[in-house]
Amino acid sequence: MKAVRNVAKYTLLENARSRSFSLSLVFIAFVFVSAFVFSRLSEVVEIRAIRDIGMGAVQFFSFLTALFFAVKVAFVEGQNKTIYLPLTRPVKRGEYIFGRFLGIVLSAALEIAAMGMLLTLLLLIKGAQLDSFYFVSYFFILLKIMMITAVTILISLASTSQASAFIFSFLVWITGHSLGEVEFLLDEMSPAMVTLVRIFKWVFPNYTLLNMTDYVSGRFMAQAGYLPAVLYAFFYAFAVMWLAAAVFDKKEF
Amino acid sequence: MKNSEKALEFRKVAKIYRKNHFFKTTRTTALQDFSLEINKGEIFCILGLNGAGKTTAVKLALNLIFPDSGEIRVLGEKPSPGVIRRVGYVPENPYLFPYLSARELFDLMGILSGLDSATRRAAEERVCAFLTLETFIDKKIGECSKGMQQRILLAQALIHDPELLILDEPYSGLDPVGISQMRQYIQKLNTGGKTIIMTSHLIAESEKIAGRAGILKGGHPAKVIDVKKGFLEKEFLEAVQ
Repeated sequence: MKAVRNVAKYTLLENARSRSFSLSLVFIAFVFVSAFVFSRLSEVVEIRAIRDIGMGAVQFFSFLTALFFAVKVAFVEGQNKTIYLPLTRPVKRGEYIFGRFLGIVLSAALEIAAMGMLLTLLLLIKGAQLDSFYFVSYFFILLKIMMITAVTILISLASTSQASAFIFSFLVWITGHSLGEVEFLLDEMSPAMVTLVRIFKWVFPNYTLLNMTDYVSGRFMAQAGYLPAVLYAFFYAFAVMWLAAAVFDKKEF
Repeated sequence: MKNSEKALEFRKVAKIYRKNHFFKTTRTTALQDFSLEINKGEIFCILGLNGAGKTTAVKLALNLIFPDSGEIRVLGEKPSPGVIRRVGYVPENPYLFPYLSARELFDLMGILSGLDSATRRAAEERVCAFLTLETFIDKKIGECSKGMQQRILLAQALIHDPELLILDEPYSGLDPVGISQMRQYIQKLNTGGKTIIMTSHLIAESEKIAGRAGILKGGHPAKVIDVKKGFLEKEFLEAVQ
């Protein structure tokens, strides 16, 4: 556990100092300011526009940075031999990869918190009334990032190129967000396709269950209680990481 | 000589790399019928042309890759986290964590080696004094020169005071002053009781410090010789041609 904690700590430190992290913060800030400026064109939807564009940007950029860090940890560090240093120590490989995973999730939490503060400030300047859904949404973005980080680590460990790791992880992100929409088409599908969709719902992260930023599903989740969705996210991420640890244990570098 | 007096042993080891493509798997034999014994306390150079199997042999000893057949013993034991605790490794030209300082890297490596905080601090002071790292220990590694990075790399391998030190191309990318410094460090470490195993392309440098050398060709040792000044290049060329 000490190894996991310290690998996570140094991963966070390393990521927080990295150029890609600072760059993503600058990009998100730019998107916020753009939303702030463009929203003046339509006064009716002004606050809603800033909030929706802002939350979307937080989610998208934290996804991109998590994707970058996960591919780096699980693929790039194997290619450029950085991984030799920790793996030639008496530490279990599973502990190391799990520490790296936690470090990336903590980095994402830091990024989301920093951007959340900036967005909240902009919204308060505009006189927005912020409800609890707004703040809970950030936590649910983090849960989504946690799930895609685990999936990206697993994909990167099995990939033969950096590009394929990025592409497949991106496809998982898109598929995970589309599973809810596919649900509406089940009646028109053949039994084989229905079975395939059901399998997909188990294999891919179902982000519809965590879509707090969506006004309607957010209220529906609030009624049903947040716990099932939170448990689902943790169970999914840890199951994928358990699989990733098993792959990592057998992987040759 | 008893097994316990061997630092590293390979017995009829074979290693084949497999690369999966869409419809076929390509196989490359890296080591075949590879047997080699390296004694405790010596400086042993593993020499060979590119693709001869030098790095593969080192990675097998460190459990980074796994053999297809044969037996490997590191300090008398099968490669495992337990015995790796007694081994230090300097890989060839790795990309070190660029956003961490050397002090942070040593701390992390010390923790992963199972050292408590007091031992880590003492070890850090010891390696800093030995490799004169004081002036850049708090600088980010990415901002250090190649020579500094090579010393940091050697220092991280020494932080847990290993009995056996494995160096993969330790002179790679160093200027003549850096090469000379590295040679002196290696000699001092050996005088201090550590077994040194190093791979190298530099015959002249190997000749200056090695007691014995194994010359690899086509994935197995073509010759294992006692190094005599002025003869290594001739022996090497005879073995690989």
